[in-house]
Amino acid sequence: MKNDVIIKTVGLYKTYNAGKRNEVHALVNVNLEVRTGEILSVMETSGSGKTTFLNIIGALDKPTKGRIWIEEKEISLMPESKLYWIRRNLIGFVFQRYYLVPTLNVLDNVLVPVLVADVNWSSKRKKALELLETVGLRDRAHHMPNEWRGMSESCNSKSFSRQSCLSVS
Amino acid sequence: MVCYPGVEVVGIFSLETKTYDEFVYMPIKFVRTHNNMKLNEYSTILIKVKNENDLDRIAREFKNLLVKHKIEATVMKVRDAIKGFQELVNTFDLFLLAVSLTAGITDGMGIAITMLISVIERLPEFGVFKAVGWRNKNILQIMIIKSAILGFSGAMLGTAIGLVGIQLFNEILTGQMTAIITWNTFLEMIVFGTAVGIVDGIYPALKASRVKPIEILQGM
Repeated sequence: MKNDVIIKTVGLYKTYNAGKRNEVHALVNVNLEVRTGEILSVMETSGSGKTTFLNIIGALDKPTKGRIWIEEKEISLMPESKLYWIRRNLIGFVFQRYYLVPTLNVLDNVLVPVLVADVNWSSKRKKALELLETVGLRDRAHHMPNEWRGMSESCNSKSFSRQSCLSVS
Repeated sequence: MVCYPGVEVVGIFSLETKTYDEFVYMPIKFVRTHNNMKLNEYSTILIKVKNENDLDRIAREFKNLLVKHKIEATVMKVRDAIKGFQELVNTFDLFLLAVSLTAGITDGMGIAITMLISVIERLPEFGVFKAVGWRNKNILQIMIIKSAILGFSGAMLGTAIGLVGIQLFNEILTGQMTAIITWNTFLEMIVFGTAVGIVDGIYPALKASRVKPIEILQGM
């Protein structure tokens, strides 16, 4: 695996309801390499397996067959007890639907991934505030989510994606 | 002060106990005259022994004396009365223990149900937490701490209500009986309440920690 390859999949298969009448082959032999700095868009019709693919390379789901590397770490063989580290440190998600914790303020929502991590708290907080600045929510850092319901959903989504990316430095 | 023909109040004493302060003390001759009692008739005789070890012997001898003179009376040792009262208190303690345990179980069920509802409502939250790198034990710890706080708060609130109840109890039974809460009892209640909270939070906490993020995200 070349050094600049950050995501690699080899012979990736995902089959739902295997062996049953309603068997679905969501992924069939997906081979892919994503290099540092590349922006990759996965486009296909609805139900073609895009989300399944993203969930698998995001360490949220396991393939039926095949291998996946994230920054040279093979996650297809990793037990669930270790995948948390990959999700926390190497993956950033933009969820299809944002989900904010109603009891945490905007800043803490952004900091959710590192709330339980052993990190330099003040630097993460500073970075979170910078990220909020980039999406124009710096002034809202200490507001509760229900206090800024009027803001556009895309803005919320942006902020939440930052939350997931926070730990990727 | 004269309040009855031939009777003059010469003083009012107060032991601040309802039991004795309600008594009226007067010359025995006057009492006998007004109650049609014979001159050698007594309603109660109190005997104080010098040595406590002689109590049983003296009580026995006195009883024999009464039987010998064919006098119908009951000989009762204060110690036996206290023992009887102690048994009553012990029975009452058992009753209170049963009430406390019932309250504890109900309290525990309340916490378990509250926690379970909270977990079910927050499943998407836990799913997202795990998707961004939280471990099972992170969620487990948070939920256990939450249920411990619930149990602790319940115990504190219960104790506060109990203190108000004790105050009322003491107001009503001024002088007759005094209820108190000791530091030991207080600590026992707090520890018990918190422990109930922790134990009853385990199952909901496990349920929350074992949530599969993929299942939650697919449902969102």
